[in-house]
Amino acid sequence: MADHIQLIGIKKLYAGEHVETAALHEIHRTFRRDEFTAIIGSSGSGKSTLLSLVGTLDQPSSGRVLYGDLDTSKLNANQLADFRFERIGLVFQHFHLLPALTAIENVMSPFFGRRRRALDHRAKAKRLLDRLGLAGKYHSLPSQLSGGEQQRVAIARALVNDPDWLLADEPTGNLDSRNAELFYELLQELKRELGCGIILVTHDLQLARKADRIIEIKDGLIVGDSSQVTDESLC
Amino acid sequence: MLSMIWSNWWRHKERFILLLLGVFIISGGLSFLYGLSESNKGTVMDTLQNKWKVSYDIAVRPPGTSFGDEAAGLMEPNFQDGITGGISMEQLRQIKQIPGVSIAAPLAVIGYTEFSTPLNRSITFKDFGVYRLKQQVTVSNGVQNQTSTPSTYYDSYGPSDDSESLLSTNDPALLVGIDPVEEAKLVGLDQAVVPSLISHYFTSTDTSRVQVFDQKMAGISKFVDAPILISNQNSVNKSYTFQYEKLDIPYGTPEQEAELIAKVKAGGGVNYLDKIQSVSSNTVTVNVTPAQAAVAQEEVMMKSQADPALLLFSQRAKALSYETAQSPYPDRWPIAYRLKSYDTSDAAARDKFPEFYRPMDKIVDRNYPYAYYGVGLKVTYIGNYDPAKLQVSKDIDSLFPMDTYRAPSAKAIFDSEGRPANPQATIKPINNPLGLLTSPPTMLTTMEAAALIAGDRPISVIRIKVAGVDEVSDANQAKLEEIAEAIRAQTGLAADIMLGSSPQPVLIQVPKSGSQTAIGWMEQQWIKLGIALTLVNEVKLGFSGMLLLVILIAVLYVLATNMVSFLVRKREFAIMLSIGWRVSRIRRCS
Repeated sequence: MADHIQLIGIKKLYAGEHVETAALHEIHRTFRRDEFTAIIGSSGSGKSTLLSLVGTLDQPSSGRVLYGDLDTSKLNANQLADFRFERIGLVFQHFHLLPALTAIENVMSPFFGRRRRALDHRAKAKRLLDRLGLAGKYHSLPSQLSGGEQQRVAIARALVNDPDWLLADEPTGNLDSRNAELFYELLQELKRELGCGIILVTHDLQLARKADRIIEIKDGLIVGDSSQVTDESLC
Repeated sequence: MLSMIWSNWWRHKERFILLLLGVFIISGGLSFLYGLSESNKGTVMDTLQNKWKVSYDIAVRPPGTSFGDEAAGLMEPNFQDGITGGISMEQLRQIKQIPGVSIAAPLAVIGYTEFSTPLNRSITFKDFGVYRLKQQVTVSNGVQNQTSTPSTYYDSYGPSDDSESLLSTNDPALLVGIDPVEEAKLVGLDQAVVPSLISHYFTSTDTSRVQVFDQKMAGISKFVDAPILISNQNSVNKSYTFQYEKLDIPYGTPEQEAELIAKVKAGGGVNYLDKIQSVSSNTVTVNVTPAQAAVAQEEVMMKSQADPALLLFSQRAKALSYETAQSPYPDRWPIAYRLKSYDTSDAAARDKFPEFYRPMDKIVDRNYPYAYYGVGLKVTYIGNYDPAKLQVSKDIDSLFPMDTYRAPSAKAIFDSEGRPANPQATIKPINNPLGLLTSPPTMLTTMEAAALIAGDRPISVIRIKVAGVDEVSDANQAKLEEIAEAIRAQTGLAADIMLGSSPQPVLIQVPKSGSQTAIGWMEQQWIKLGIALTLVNEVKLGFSGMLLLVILIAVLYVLATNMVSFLVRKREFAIMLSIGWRVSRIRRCS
């Protein structure tokens, strides 16, 4: 179990025709598991890119992402998939549920194709859905759920395998302010209950202010960090 | 994962139905195309193989003999009928012992005999007298009518004679020796015997023996007893015209008979009668149909079984000679020949046969100067066989001409002036041993008899069937090459592979010969050795290519549907990746 995620000299470039665009410039930062971290910034600032690199969904052009002592750049595709399965839960702005699966199937979907006892994870999925207030919605398709319900299913899916980290990319972007508020409170509760680190990307400043730590990013550079945790302090 | 795949299908019914429809269309289409391709391949291969099917795989012939145009690999149809002996029984035994040879059927082309056929017609004389009969034979070769010079003989009707004179004719018939056991295996000759009380196939009791004469027996050195199986097919369209004239001689009393005999003796025999004028004349024409010929043969057969008939040999079977000619239409007929015409000083032959495209070669015993007929035969006709019942290719499409029992044919294309023939008549055999197209063997005898007649090397051709070779293929060709090479090495004989041969139309210029005018140009199907193998291989390659294309289309379909599926479900796959699915599992799921 990693207590921190360390970004060392992370740079992300996108190559276009005769043009190379830098999405992130030399990011050095550490995230602690006991913190609720919010990353804020305007659209196109690079916050989602940063989250996808932290979540090992993308590879940095240069630099390294360390989970504790584990250098994720040294993992092959299968090891990375296993790593994501075991250590990371992801929640997206558009929920990204599998449309052909019911709520409970979506929650169980990370286990599909893995040799785990089906009864165990079905029971766990039900518990999570119950916990998130979706007890009567086990067999509803995503199209039959509201935005808030879909987002809760997405959280349940992200948490079903007890990850160390929950990464959420604009999870309240498609929710009204009341649902966004409820959602944030839910995350706080889950963090307390499950003890997982949370990194939340949002452009909602009001929501971000409730986090333990706020990192502001602009044009691919970190321009503010409320915590100022340094690499040196961890060594 | 399976439940997820099923859910994905079940909850996208319209997509699933389209997928199923696509699967049915593509699998049905592929099955149809594959079936069509295989069926076409089978049809083409069958056509190729049946059309040019021969009943044997290798033809063995004496060294130095020609089968047509060896340089061009072109074989003349029924070439074996032009080879008179050359292979010994010992060489046949050697060939039979070569591994892989399942049938070795020898063919000993001995020569032509004069075969007497009753015509089942008679002339009834009304008045007592001496009659001069002139027999003239008219044969149609399909393009020309060929009429022989009339032959004359005399008959008389008196108080002690019958008023009826039975008509008969002497025709040349090709005698060929066979091995009854091998021939039965090769072409089912035993099954082709026409069932009748007096007709049977060769048995072990049908033996031969030779009777040698001293010099007092004029004309013949020896007689050979020979069992004969006779064909019931008459491939020649013939008509006989008998003209009979009553001579101006008093005849009807014993005194007049005695007086006539004295005058004939004093006047030089037949020469005396030739000079006497006739007082009346009548004509009888007899057309012989195959059915009539068969009935006539029954009669001959019955008589011979009671009292063997005596036959004399007249002529060896000889091959035609060709020289290369300039084709008038090389695009259509790239290969053309000019047929050689011969002349003969034999007056009897000139009277009897109007054309000479083969050299005269009378069968004589050179050790016995008086034996101008060489060998005589005492024949017992043991049975009739029907060539149509032989197990050789009788497919209507079968163009392969080289079967021992099939009458050769050709087609008149241009007249001697180069004008196109219209219609293009079929040129048929005329039963002339020296003529353009000769009939297939009429009389078959045993190899034992053939050896007694023809001497040490009686066999002309050995037809070989190799075990396990039933279609044209490279493997079979290699097998035949190996056996042919073994035959050449062990016996010194020439061996030609017949499997995989195909017809090649050639143009032949037929010049004037004897009393016949030039036919002009005729087209005949010769045999190009080995070409069908190339064709069959190309057909196989073509259809394999088609099959490959069908498979390629199927692969393209699968790739295209996968690509479409990937593009449609790209977002889904990204989600799966994000929740920890391995790429390999996503690939299986897609």
